[in-house]
Amino acid sequence: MKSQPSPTPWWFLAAAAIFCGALNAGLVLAWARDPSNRYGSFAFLIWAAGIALLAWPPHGPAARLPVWVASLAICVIGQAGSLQVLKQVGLALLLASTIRPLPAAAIMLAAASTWTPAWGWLATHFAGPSFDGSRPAFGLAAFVAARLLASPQK
Amino acid sequence: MTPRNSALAAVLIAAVALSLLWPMIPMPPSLIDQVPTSAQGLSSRDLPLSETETRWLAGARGIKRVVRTPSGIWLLAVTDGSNNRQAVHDPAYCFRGEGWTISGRQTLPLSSGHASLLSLTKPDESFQALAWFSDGGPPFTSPLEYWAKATLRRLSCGLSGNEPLLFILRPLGPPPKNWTDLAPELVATLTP
Repeated sequence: MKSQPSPTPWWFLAAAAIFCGALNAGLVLAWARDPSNRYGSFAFLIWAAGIALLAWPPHGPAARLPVWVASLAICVIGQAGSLQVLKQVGLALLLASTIRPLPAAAIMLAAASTWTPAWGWLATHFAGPSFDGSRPAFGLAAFVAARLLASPQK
Repeated sequence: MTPRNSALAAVLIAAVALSLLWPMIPMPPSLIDQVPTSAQGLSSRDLPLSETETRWLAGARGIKRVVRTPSGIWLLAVTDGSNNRQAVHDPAYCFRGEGWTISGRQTLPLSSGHASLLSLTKPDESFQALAWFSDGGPPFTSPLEYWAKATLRRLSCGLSGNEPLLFILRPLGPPPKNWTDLAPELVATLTP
């Protein structure tokens, strides 16, 4: 007799998202105070809306439970080491892991860089401050690409 | 509750506990109190931090000091991110945020380690500043090395070494003609 697969622990995803989100609360200050992160909040809204659209309806990704635990661990290491970028990677990995197929999730994971202060730092380093305005455009382009990849699955 | 859910709940509780408790572990004292204030040929006077500077430091410690050396008068800014690592950035990033354009960036070799010479311009003014990080070892210029050292220090509860400090030095008088010759002595004099 075939055993029933365990139900996906959505409560864990929700709790982990709240926890990782709380650890990243400092992002709001960075977006508000730092001129090179001016478009970060807008890019985050685009990215989060994209994740919600791509992840709905929920797929039952019980197999991604290890990714959720790993995301949590990355956030904790980031908090213990006071390294913001790790906390941002943890949050992005957690939320992007709800998307299928994997290439679409990978694109959205990479697109998370558009809302991070690291984007502002790299932009000022290599391209100049005006490059900051490109965040929403890159976020939208990533969403469209991920949507195209995800379409045949639905 | 199923065994899996119990394990997941334990993971969550452990994550919350570690995140709250780890930053509270006491760390060894910072090097900022050992930044020299006087020595042979060196005298200095601390300036009060402005309200904006204090707000930007947000708990981090900072020194703003006028320093007199045989080669000139300088304004030295030292930032210690022990209490708030986010207060320490790539110096070029800070200056760009203040509206300066980085018109040049040169790495100067010291007797041991390196320092960065930044050329900063605005439409009607310009100056050069020397910047370096130091954790008591050879001075370095890479923000990535700073992040790695500062993170490792926190994860190892201070066993990996001291918290690196960020030093920024700019002339208050006429700009020096030859930074390459001056930098090694200045950095050695001002770094603990």
